[in-house]
Amino acid sequence: MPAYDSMSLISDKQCIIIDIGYKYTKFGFSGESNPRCIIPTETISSDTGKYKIVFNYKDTDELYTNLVDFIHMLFFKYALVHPKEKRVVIVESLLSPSVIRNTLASVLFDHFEVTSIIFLPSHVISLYTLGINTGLVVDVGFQEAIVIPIYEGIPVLKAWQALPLGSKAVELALRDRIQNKIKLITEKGEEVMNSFCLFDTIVEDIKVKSCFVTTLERAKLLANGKIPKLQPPAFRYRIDGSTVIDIESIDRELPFETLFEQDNDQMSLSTMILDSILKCSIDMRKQLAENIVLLGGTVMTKGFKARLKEELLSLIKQPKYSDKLFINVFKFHNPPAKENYVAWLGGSICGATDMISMKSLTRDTYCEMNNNTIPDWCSLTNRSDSVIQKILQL
Amino acid sequence: MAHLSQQDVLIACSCGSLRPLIKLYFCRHCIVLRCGYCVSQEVDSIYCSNCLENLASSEAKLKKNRCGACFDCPCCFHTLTIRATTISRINPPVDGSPTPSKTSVKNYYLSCFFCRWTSRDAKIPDKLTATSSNWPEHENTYTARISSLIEYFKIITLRERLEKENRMFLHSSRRGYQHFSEKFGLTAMLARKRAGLPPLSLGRDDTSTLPHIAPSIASEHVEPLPDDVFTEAIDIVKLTSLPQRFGIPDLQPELISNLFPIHKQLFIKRSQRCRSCLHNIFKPEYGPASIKFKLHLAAYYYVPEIRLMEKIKLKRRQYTHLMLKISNPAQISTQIQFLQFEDVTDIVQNNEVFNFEEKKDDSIDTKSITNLAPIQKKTYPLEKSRRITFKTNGKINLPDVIISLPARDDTAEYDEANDSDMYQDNPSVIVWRKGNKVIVKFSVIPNNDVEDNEDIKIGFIMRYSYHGKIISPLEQKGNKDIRLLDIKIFISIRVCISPTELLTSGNYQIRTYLGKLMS
Amino acid sequence: MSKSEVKIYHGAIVCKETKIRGDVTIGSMTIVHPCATIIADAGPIVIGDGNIIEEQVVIINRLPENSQNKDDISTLRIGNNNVFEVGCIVETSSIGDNNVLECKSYIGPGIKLGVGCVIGAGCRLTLPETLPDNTLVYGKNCIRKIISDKPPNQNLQREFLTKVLPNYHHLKKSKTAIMQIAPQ
Repeated sequence: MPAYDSMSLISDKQCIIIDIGYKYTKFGFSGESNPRCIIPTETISSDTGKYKIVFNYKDTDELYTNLVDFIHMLFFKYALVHPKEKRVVIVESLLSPSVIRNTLASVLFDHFEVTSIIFLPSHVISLYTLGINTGLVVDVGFQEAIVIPIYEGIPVLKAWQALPLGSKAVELALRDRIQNKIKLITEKGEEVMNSFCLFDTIVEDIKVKSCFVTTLERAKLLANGKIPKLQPPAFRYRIDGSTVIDIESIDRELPFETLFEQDNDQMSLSTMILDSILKCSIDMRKQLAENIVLLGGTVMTKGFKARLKEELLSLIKQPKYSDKLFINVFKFHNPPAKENYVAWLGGSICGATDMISMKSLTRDTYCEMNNNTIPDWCSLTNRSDSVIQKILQL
Repeated sequence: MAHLSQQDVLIACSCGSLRPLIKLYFCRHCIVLRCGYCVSQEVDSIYCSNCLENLASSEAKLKKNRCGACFDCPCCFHTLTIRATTISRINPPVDGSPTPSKTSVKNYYLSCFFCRWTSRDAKIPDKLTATSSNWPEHENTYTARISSLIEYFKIITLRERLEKENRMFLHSSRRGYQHFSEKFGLTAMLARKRAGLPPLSLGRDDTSTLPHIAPSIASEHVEPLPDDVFTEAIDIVKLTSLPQRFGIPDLQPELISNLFPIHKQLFIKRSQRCRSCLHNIFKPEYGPASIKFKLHLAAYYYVPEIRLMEKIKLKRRQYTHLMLKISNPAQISTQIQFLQFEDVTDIVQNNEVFNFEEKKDDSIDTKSITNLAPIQKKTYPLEKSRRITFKTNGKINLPDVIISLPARDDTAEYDEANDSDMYQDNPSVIVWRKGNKVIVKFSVIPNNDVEDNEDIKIGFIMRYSYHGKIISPLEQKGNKDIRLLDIKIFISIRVCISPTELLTSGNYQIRTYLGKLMS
Repeated sequence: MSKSEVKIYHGAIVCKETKIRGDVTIGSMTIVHPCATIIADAGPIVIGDGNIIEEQVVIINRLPENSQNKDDISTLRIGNNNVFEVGCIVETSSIGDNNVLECKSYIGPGIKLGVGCVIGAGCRLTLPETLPDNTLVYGKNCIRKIISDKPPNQNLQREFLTKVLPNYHHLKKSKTAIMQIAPQ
């Protein structure tokens, strides 16, 4: 009775839910309401003993060893379980490159010998946290922003939108603004300008502590080179005991404009959302616009949601969209979690159900597969894909 | 030079990783080197690194891998300590006594010695007892909602599963009474029971049994940008950094004053097992306070150690002498020979032969395997070994001698007698000999295309005789089990930078440091 | 070394081996360990009451390198009940009361400490500014924080040192009978 066996497996043993982001990884156990830890996707290399960003790799071999070191840390520092007996849920983006997915499967099966793995699409399972099955899911992470509409539990893949608009772009803009403002004062009282010590963590810290998304009205003024009357206070950021950066008020509001400024193709975060709605069929559009779900750490920035709504409402009146889209209301969902781990929470909810025993790829099956490639999401030849779609229909 | 962990001399493990000798293991049963990468790791015991309490794995799971008694500072992640203060309180005058009485009460609060964070900062009231438990805990506010969602999806997937099995059942030709119990009985009942729901009617798909769940309602209202951004001066000192926020994932507070103590993450002791023969090669003692091992098959007990004797400066197109000190750590004497990579082509095959031989030992460990897989042990292909990524850019000339090294004898350290006469050594090769150690002279030449500041990397094979006397109690082999083992050695010779080059490098700290040294 | 300029108030413990140069005033109940160095080149150093100055501590009132004007006299004032732990270097111009400078910390010129500040072990501050009261500087990157806890009272330690140091070291005599209240 295989059904009985797997049943006892899930009830006794929680599965491990891993959401590996480009910058931060969310990790925890199924059925819990928040991740055990959110840690940088970095690891100490077992070969060189140096810090390494996992997704900074030259070839598959390097990615493989990075992932081995990283997942080793997850299992033995945080999960404290023997991986051999564990089922693993990987929350990943629908657009995640297959090399990462295949390498990850190989690491988990070949190196850690886990019992089974299931890959869950982050956009779809985020809706699980809300109890709805239709929504426009906007994920603004570190590396990129991805918009995918989900209708009746099925991702509308033809309407996906992705742009490299995430915290990375914001941090680059902030770095550009501040890297010439670093002052180092030596023991002799000399003032030296230097920018070599501007590590990513410092830029990130300044961004997190002081930057915000300004209002549309102010953004328009700033874009025209005018300075609004009211200025957010400037302040002095100390890197260490001898180095400071004087952050001007404009440095606090401008970096996030990168996300909303239209690029050469007239694309921005807000047009992505509208374009995505536009690509869906007419009868879906209103429902999608009234069910927007925002995910990712970047959307937690102060003023982000307000600005996004303002942008959408103002863009919809522009000729580019006003002829085609007849929407005047945008509604946003509030998931029962912080935005940066919504996708993880979706995984945690899925991981607590029978889905794991039904849909997981087991080690036996993996070893029997001749090319050790995990089938793609949109692959029609794969039977389990259609099953996933079925299960997602609530 | 006398570093314990010499990173200059690396040894290729059987899996292809390059590690210094001290980081390698030696499987006595497979007779190959193993490293942390190619052994299977297991959780032995779980403990708290602060109070050294040993927890059973189920208990640790219950406590979410955190110690119930010890806390970490939410600000700097150091361990918090309990601090006592005496607060004198003036009691209101009791009837009869004219003056108010004074009592002093001891209060306890958590405090960090490093960043001076205290539980008072988090507005946690002081406690009257020193016991470390019962500090206020916080709850995720969404837990109820999330568990109702989980229940809902559990039922959905369960029905999906039943449907699927139904379909399979209809297709199957065999119909019998016992299949009904298989189909409806255990799984559904169990799931309902676990979910704390009334037993499900065994009838087929009816929507009325679906638990009701309120879907989230989207709203037009979004958090506006707070106005005080433009007016309030920013106080960077009071804001949390991302690691501090992520320490408490469900709250992620923005202000330092909203942080609260984090339960200390538990630690584990690991044991390591060889993947091909499943023997333990490393096992610590169970108790957290013990730093001893039950089993510790480290390579430095079995493989002759090679150390660089001195830093050398290499010259282009010229041979430079390289002194290597070789010592035999084993209790039995050994013979060592050096070979170029080209001379040996069958190293890998060698190891495979050993693997094959040892397969019969599997029976020893079936006890530990059986509790993992009740059905039967499946054999999976072993992980692919890694490519050795060490690129040599120099050539080493190896002396064509066989060096015999006596067994390690700790008393010989104090023995003044020179025993080098016992060996007929060629003085141009063996420079020095004492006890189980020799210094051998090699010569190195960099390749012609080497850059100026590049480290010179060389590699060779050390073939030595291994006396596998103590293999296992079950194996009744003769004592004279001598094998030749080939170990790939890789040495990188750092290019020395002269102090004058340092001075011009413009690094202020080094400059001041050197300035101090010279004055 | 012009010893005549050293004023030691009653009750202070200053060991004979201590290197003191220039116009230095040491308040009562202050304890100066034998290997400490106090150099008043640019102007007088006035140390208040009840401070503990441990081994290898260097307190310098240094002449600014670029200033040619030798008449530019500034006084380095140190308040009461401060603790200078082993190996810290002080080149500042003003320190208030109840501060703790942990081991091997460095305070450059122009940094003024208020009241109740703690400079963590190994922290190097070179940027001229005035630290607000109760500031804590800690860690590799000199992270700052305002603390609510007062640094612990050093009375016991001071009493202990007052008893022990004279047993093993010759003391510098307090100058004549200056029994008034220490400056500041």
